[in-house]
Amino acid sequence: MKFKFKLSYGTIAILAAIVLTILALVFSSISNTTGLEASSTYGVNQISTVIACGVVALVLAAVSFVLDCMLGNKIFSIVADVLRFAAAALLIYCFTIMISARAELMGYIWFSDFESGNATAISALNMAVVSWVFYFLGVVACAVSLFRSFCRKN
Amino acid sequence: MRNFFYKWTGLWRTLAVVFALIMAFGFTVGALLEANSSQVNRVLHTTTTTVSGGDYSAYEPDDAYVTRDEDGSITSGDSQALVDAHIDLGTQVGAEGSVLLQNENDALPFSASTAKVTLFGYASAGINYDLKTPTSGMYFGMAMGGDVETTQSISLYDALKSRDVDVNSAMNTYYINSVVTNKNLLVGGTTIKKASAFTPYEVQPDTTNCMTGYSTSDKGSGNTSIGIVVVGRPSTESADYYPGSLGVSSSTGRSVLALTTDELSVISAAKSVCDKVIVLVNACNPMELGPIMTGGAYAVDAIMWIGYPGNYGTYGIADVLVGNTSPSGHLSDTYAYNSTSSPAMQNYGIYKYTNGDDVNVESSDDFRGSYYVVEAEGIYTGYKYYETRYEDAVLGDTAASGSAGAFDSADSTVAWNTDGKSTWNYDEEVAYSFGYGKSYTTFEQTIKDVTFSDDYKTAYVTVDVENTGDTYAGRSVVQVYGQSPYYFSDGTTSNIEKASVQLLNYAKTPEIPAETKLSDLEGYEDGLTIEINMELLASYDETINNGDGTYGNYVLEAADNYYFALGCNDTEEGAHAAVNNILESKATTTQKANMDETGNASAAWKFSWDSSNSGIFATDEVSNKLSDANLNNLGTTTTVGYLSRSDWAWTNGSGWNTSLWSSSNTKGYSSVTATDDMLTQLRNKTYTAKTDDNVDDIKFDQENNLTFADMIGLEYDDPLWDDLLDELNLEEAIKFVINGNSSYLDLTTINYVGVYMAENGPTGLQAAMPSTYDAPWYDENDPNMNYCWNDMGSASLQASTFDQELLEEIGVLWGNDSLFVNCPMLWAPALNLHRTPYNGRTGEYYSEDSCLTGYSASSVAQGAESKGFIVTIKHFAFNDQESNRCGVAAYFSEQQARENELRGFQIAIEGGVKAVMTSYNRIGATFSSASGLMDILRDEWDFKGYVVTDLVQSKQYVTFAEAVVKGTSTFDVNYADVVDYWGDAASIANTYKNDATVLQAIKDAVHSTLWTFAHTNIANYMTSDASSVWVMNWWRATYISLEVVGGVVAAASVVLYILSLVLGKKKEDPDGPASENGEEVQS
Repeated sequence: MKFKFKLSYGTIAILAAIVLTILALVFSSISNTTGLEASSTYGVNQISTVIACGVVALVLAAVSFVLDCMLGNKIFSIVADVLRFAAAALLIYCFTIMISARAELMGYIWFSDFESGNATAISALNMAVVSWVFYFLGVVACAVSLFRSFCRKN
Repeated sequence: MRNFFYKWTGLWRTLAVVFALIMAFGFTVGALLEANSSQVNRVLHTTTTTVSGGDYSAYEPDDAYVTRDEDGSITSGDSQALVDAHIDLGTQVGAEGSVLLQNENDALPFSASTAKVTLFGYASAGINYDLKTPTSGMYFGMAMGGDVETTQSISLYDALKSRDVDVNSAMNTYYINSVVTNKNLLVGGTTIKKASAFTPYEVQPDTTNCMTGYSTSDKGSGNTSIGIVVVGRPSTESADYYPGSLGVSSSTGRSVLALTTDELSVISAAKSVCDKVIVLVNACNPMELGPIMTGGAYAVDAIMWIGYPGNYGTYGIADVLVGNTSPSGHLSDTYAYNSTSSPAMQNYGIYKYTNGDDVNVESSDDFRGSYYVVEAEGIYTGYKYYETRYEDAVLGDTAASGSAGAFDSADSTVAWNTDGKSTWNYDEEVAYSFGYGKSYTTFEQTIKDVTFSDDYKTAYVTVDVENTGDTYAGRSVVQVYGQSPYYFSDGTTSNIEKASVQLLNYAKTPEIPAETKLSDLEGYEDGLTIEINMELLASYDETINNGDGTYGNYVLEAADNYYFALGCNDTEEGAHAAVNNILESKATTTQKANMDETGNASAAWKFSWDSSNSGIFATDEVSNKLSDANLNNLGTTTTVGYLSRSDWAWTNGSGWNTSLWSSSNTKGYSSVTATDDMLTQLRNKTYTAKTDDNVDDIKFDQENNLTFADMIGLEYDDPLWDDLLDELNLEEAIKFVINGNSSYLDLTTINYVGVYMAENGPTGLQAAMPSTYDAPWYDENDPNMNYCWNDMGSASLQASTFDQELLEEIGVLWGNDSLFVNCPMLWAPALNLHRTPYNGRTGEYYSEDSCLTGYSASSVAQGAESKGFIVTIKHFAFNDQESNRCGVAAYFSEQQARENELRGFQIAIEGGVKAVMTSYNRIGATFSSASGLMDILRDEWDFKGYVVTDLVQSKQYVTFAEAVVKGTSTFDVNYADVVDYWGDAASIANTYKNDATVLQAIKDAVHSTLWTFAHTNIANYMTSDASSVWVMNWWRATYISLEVVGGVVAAASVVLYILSLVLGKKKEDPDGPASENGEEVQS
């Protein structure tokens, strides 16, 4: 089966961003659930916002891919760039929320001994850290995708 | 021009992306830093706001720490002089708090000129304990809660060298290297969810290669080879030790507080190569010392308890060791041979309601509501148990001397054995009593006279002290105990439980030369008179009918056999000496045969108490307020039998379990089922907002033209306060009440500027902070700006000085610190009693005794307040264990509460303390800030000051209305962190807008907080025109730069990128795809 277009670095990057975003959302959810198991104090109160923004970021990334790759003209390329940038901004927002949501837990576990024996709370923080990594990589991937067009015609 | 644009299209795009990300990063980091600025400032030693204005004349540092011009105005500060004062005072605390327990064979003091000293043991190495990289060495402070700055600590090696002692450097280096390479030490004994064993780690000395010139065989002529072995245990927040199988050293099968076989091997090794061996006990949790005491299998020449010496206490220890000063410290705890032998240990640890899983509405355990502890020992904690049972055994009570509750001594040759003995023998139970301590000389104390005030509420005990030694001068501690009779002269017995003795007050003499009496010294011709508050001898009787429908009050029963007794006789000093002095006065010849030592009858004073004075401390405000904390009043299927003098076998209770404890924790009251009412309380939300109160008289938003500055120094009841409080905006007041996490918010209507107010630390201000730049004695370029002021020895070491004047000096020093670092409040000291030896936070608390605790705190507070520095006593109350501390329900009798735990707080508050922090735990099923404790504090004790909760980790556990209506002033939390749980200020205001109780409580909360703040040194700058000044510190400059630079470059790049798209022309390539947007399409 021959594809109409060859995948460029930009395409790979945006696909990676999509995958990383999904992983980030998964680990954010796990962190929230684990935190609730430790104590409802350690749930992520804005988890719904995180999920919503993450999903919108996914949609924007996908739409930008379609606009640039499938429809590809100058205007759509600009719009695609804007959408990718918006997706990156939303991921940064999710990243910020998750860091802020775990700031208290960082203090309790990393900078004091308040919850040193609460294995579930520690796990909740660790899952959040993993989600931060994926958010950050997702942002980077979005940024990389902005440097190159998505598709190359065969 | 077009070429220019489209040639660089890729660059503009790249720059736009990169700098947009930089800008976004700046905003993200900035938002996080600002949201947590108070914590960031603590860690990074920065400040984000300062206050302009003020003339800094209300409070000034002591003259020693400033320079003045001819007019007397301060021109500059001398922070180095302040640091030097810390060194001097820290040295003095180390010297005067260290307790000499044993001194045989003239081991101490040793001569600096002839001693060849080798330091042995892992804990002798100078590396401080560090929480995050768990190495060990000497414990200079706690791991958490009362920690000291590592880099400032003076090692024992260096301290001895400073006193010209020849110390073995090879062995010291060996142990330092051992500490660095063996980072496997565990902290504490258990964690919140499960117990884990603490493993004391030890390293055997290299006596083959590291003793050259320091051993018995090659020390040199005329020299003495001295081995100093340091053994220790850490103390920390949020973790406890556990005895038995839960806390057994893996190498020995022994209790974690017993010396391990490895530690004993080190001692043996030291004994084999040294002429004399001295053991220093570097622990605040009372350890089992039997094997190294005289007669033990590993007996050493001298034992000295040193607590946690802080940064500079090792200088003091060195001074004691070489004889520059005589030791004068006394134990603030009982040291039992078996650390599990007290009745409190029968109910200690992790207990879950049988229906604990029903507690929580949600699936999570928020917050430890499923756990409890029943303090069934009643008033018999610490020496009150051991000394009382001893007296009863002497007087012939067969149950007192029976086998129930008799524990085997810890023995180095036998694995830890708790099968019990056939008789209870004091000398086999207690190694060192509360108040015990030796000197290089000996003292004799006699009571010369006792008088009473006209109202009999105060007694004056006049004492003379004689230094009966012929060589050394020394300071003597006069401990005055009281005995309220349990057995009356007519043969009847009181219905109220009473301890044999209770410490009532104490004082430390000046240095008395050898063979000299105190009364020979100038100013002491009449001896030393110690004032006694007779209320401390009163008993609390829960059954007294007050005649107004309430029950419970204080009583001093009429009797003719009350006693005052001094804690000193020819044999020893401390509580046991006091008991023996009383027994020497009152026991029959037959009974005296049961005594373990002869008492000094001249150190006991018998007096009568008339029935007309029985109720002088029974006030109208007093009544039972903690009935809900007594499990027997809650309708459960469990009946608690509190330990009684009439039943030492504890047949009415859960009995004595002397078996090695298993992880199933079957000892004590382990099967309590919570009733439905208890479950309701445990779920915390118990207050229902009223909707139809008349709130017309509760005013807000009035314009009375008053500011906070107008209130400075005013009494609490000054009518101007009402006018000021009427100016408050309700929502702003709610935010102010909620946000009590060290920093406070603005109250714009009264021009109160929110500033950083509070810091933690029983060892001093915990964080180095830059001061306001306006203070004339402080400059941002000060070389000591990063000095860490939390450098004092542990609380238990401070208490062991038994010197109220010294503790007042500590308070004054901390007050000076607060003026330099501009932090006017300290969340310390902690007054919870050492209920058991296993509480992980023992180093942060003063003692097992309420009197020593209360007077210690009161002394520090009075010194601090002289500089406008407010201390906050905590944790009010019953924070007796760290396990499940956030939410564990403590159940106890009201008599125990009032005579033990609360008495220390009461003494401190009556001594002028203006701030209290409540505890993490529950009182009964109710969290402390909303419990009957608050009624005692606010109503009975008429406390007007500031009450803050402990850290609000769970916003479902600590709740707003429940706490505020009971008198809580503020919460240790950031406002932003509670909005999702409690609602924002607007919603809270709306909820309670027609609830007069809550509205008035909010105003009262602000009142108590501001009144307290008005007595702090913020008076220096909190003037009517004070304003908050935003400070550009380095991290603000960094993130703002990222935002600005990132934003400008990104914006410019976007514009250029767009221009490049618009203006750029198509570039045609006949050999490949056409380019678009000036870029080549990849192939």
